[in-house]
Amino acid sequence: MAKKIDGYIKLQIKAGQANPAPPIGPALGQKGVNIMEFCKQFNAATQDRMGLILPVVITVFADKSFNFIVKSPPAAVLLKKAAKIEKGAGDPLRDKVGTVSWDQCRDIAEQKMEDLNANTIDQGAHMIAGTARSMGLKVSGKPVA
Amino acid sequence: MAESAPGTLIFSFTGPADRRDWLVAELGELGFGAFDHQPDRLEGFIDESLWTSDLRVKLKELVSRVGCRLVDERRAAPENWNATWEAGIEPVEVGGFYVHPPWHSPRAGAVSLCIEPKMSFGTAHHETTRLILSILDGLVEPGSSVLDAGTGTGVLALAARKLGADRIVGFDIDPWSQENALENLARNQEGGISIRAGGIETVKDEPPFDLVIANINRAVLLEMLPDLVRLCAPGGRVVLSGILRPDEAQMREALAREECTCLEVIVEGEWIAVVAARA
Repeated sequence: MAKKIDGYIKLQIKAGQANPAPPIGPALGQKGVNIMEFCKQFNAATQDRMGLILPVVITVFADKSFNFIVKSPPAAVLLKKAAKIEKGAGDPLRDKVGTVSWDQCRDIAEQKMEDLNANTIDQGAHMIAGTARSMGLKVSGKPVA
Repeated sequence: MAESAPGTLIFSFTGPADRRDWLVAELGELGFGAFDHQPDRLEGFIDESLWTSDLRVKLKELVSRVGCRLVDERRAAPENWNATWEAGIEPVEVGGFYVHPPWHSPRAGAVSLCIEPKMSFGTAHHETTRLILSILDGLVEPGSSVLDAGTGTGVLALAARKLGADRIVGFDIDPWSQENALENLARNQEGGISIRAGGIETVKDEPPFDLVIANINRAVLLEMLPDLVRLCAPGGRVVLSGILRPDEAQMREALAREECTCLEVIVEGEWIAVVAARA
């Protein structure tokens, strides 16, 4: 029989760096979950992406056990990484601070497809390109028709 | 909690959803470690010890540039957030040890390790601790020396002492662990064990140990391994835990690079521990 679910906790945590301080501590602690066990498992599961901000959905069961799913990083995090920029633009309409290629937008869309309201990778890539432009990034390369 | 442990600074921001995502990306680079997206705001969390006046200037500039607003900031004092779970923990029996909280009595016929974790790791409820406790008896000689890297509650240092180890040193980067480990050692009437607050640099001048134990995770172990091996006496043993099963090959290769011979890999669930000998 499936275990009874007590609730879900959604946070964004740096890979490999979960610790029992807020927000993890209070969110899990008030449900009676062993915080240190979560931190150990999350840090082990994400250690290859150390320091990258990752969304995590934690399912807490009525018996105080848990499991969790790690999702892909926010698009803005991936774009900053792809463009290797120190910071976004002061005025994103006038002031371009870096460049991402259309292929990079497609790669990010592929990683983010389950979070995007898009039917195809190209549709998703257009959305990612829009996010890039709003951050002051130039998008290079032509989308394939 | 130790008064020396840092609190957490919590900043609340408002702004359009796409701007909040951008803000997350930027704040992560300023040292913020976690985020909570509420329906009406974004909360960003940063360890108080990382906060500087320079960061405040950068934060102000950043929020303006991204097009969000900082609407609140507050501090959460250090607290044992794990107290609810800890209040319900049951004893664990492993490797001849009986690991129990103070509100459970020792059990006749087993070596008692009385541990109150206070948000530190190491109650023997996790496979990675149990793996080491299950083999420690065969690794610790009376009068030997033991280094416990990432000591947490001090449970492994304490177990080593119960098996007759003489010189024992532990360290942990979690600032509350030093106090907790020392409390647990006192609770078990075991003194003379040195517990340091900080990383491996706190033991760099120690003479080599007969046994080096580290229950952390693969990424940290790989980074520390040259130092851990250097701190192990020739012919001594290095025991590594906190490793997931798929990482075994990588761990073996790293040990071989340090001229260590892998003697044994033990498994519980999805976790392994590796016992190696230093040349």
